[in-house]
Amino acid sequence: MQSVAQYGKFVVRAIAAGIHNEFQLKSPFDKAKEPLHLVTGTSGFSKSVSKSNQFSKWTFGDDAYFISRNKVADVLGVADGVGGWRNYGIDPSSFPRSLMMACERMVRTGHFVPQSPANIIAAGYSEMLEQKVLTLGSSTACVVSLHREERTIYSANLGDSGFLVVRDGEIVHRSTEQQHYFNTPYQLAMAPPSGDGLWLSDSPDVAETSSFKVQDGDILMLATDGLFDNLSEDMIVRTLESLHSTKEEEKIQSAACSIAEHAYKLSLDPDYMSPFALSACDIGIDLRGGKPDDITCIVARVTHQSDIFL
Amino acid sequence: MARSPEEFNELHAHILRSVKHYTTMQSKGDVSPVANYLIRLEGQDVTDFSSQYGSESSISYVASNLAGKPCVFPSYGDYTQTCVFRTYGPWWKKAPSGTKRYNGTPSEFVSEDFIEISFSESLYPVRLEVYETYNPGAIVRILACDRAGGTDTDSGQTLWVTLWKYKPKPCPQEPRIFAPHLKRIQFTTNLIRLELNHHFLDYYTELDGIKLIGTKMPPESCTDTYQPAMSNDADIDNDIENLEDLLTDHNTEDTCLADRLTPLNIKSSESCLFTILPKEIIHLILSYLDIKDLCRLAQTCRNLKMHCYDPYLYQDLNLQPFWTQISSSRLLLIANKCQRLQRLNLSWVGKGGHMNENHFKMFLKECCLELQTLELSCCNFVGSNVLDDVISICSNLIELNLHSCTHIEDFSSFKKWPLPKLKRLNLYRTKIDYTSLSSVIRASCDLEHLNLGSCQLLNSSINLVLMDLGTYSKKLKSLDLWRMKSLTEDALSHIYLSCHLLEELDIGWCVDIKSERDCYINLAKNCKYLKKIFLTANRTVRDIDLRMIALHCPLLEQLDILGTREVTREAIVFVLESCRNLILLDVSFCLGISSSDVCSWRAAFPLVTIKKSFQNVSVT
Repeated sequence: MQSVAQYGKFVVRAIAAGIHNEFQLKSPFDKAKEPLHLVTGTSGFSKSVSKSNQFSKWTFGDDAYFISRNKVADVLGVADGVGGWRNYGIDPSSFPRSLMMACERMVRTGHFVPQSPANIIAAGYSEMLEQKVLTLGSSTACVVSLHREERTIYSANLGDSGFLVVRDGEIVHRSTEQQHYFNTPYQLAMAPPSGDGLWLSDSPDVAETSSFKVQDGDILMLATDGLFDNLSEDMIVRTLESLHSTKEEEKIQSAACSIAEHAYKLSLDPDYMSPFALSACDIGIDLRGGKPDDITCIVARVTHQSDIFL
Repeated sequence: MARSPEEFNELHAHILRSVKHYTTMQSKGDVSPVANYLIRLEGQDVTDFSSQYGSESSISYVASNLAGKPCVFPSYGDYTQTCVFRTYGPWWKKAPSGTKRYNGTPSEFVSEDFIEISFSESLYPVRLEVYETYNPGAIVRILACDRAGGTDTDSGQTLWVTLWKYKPKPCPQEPRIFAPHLKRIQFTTNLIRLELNHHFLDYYTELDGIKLIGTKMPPESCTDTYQPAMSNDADIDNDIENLEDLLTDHNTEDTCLADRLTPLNIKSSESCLFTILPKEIIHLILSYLDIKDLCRLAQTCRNLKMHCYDPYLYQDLNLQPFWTQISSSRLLLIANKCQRLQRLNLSWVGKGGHMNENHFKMFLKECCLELQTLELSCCNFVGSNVLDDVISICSNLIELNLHSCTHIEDFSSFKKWPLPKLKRLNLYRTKIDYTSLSSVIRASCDLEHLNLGSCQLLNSSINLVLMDLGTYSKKLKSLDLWRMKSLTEDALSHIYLSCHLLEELDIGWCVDIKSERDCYINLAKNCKYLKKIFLTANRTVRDIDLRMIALHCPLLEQLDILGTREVTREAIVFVLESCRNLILLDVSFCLGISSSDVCSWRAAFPLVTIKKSFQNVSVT
């Protein structure tokens, strides 16, 4: 999936350069140290629309996400539930939803360190153990927090969800995916107490962490593998770069929608050589077409905090 | 009480009056830039509390959830986002570890738990809204702290004023915004204290949030008719206030009521007919009075005063109901009456008045050398030094309660003075460390009741603690290990292999215990006197465990198996049929146990109270 994405990089850089210069002129110098925040939009698709399980906030099929803010940081997260639990009569969406809800509460109540999103995942996971109803299941998790004053994003990623930062039409920072083997990502799990070792269960400590200085105009996209497996990176970058010059939440939201919709359409196309199919071919599996999966996509534009009030 | 239309009308009228007041002030030229409008604040910080259901480091079921926006209301059910206390109903009092009530406790004092919450601004409170989202009706008293006025603590000025209080009573099970009529106060406050009684609750009460509504300027300047006449207003003023007046010796020469009632033909030496009664009978009669009435009675006549101040009446002294007024200087004032003191309850004391460490030490030396029971629950004045004084002076203590004494940083005094006669020790939510605790356990071979719930520093060494208990505390009757997360089944074996007299075991939320190695079966086989077993959230409890408990523990009264996934209906029916003494069974969140099962069991076993808590839709 990563290898495919490299192709479009140089083309996009050329296109975006012009817009960037124009924007630079508009930005007054004194804004360079101002706190930043995120303007966000979210979209997604459930793999099986007809399933008609009750609509829940913050979920698309077996995916879940959260967006939360407090005084010091904006925090985003996505989690992709492992579908295999359905065979055991367990709703695969309940674990990621519960995990994201716990993370959201950690942030909202201020029980977190913005510089350490891995701790948000770990705390959210241990919070799930504090619930009277044990939520069984497993999921990947990716949490990104923007420290407003430090103008830096800190990330933690466990599994094959991920995020990328686009600046000037170019991917300047991204997560790497963690897999045990093909199509089997690292995952947090809560197995039945009497269960045996059949379930993969990784510790929150193995999450990959990173930090990256961001600036006004950077676009951040957080998504589950349903998106990255179907959209190549240059497709993503092409949609996102249009957001560079806008701060309007509506436009950011519509970009999130069009990316998710694009991925959803391609995922149903049997002849499309998706990034998923390409990486399958790389390891010798003959596969064509998109990968039908739940898709969740959060798009966030890094903006000066003072601009919220404009 | 909640949101009656009249109340809203009153509020509305109040706002109108506020506005009117502002305009009149302006026309008078009284320069006041701020209108006396109503300000509505959410709770900002929970500053102190007596107990909580959740873990210390968690955000689920913890006291601090009372702060911030209510997020569950108007849903009703058992949700992690709320503030939950440690007990409900009469069950904890009925358990083997339950303690008896003190003689002379005023009957109107019913508070069992408290929580204090601060607000971002100081206001004259007009209204207080408490969002109760599960089992409402626990709040029995609301107090406001006068921080500005109460700095001179020894002047006798009261720091805390009761805004509202009521007797506990059963409440309908539905979500509500509880907004009682508050007593008007003449100071601004940004610290509110709720006191709770859980007796009538069907299950844990859950508080979702609290809002303070008030004004920046004294409300009486704009209106004095807002407060509707309340039947229990008078009670508030008759509160246990001005205890000092009562406790200090008054000159009763002029007001000898009994003397005046005495017929003239009786000589003054036998001045009062009442005193013809034998001393023992008078004592027996007086022993039915609470401390407040005793003090009042003492002011009526010299003879009665002599009887009322007899130290034998003050063997049990419960000062917890008077926590708003007790300071160390006042303790010294009553020291002469406390020469026979055996049980002393100073729980919650130290917030209403200043507790000087030296004065407290003097009091201990004067009155507490033979003290058997000392309760210091939630006393913030008890730090390492005070603890050192207490256990060095009161070396004969049989019961010591340090429940939620979070200000003791260092328990090493226990190494010097290990209290050999100790039978009951409560260290819930304290920072007790293994080596200090170990000294106590090794010295006190009579230890019967030990509460180590939520002792965070013990978590890593809890297995060593249990090994010590198994070696030295053969008489152990009750053991509370609530939320000792690292407790293992191996450690538990030290208890059941040695402490055969065990009657009560609370290992709720000890989530590392695995049943596969038959620890519960061995527990049941070895401890046949068990009356209370709390296995809350021990997810691995199986049918065979329950069956063995039912077979081997015929005295079982209380059983909690919340949150296990493995137990079937048949095993629970077996327990219900086998344990004839069972009074409480909690099967909340047990997979495979439906509400209809519980309903039919309730009908078939009417003597057993069966609990099944619930959550409806997910709340965010």
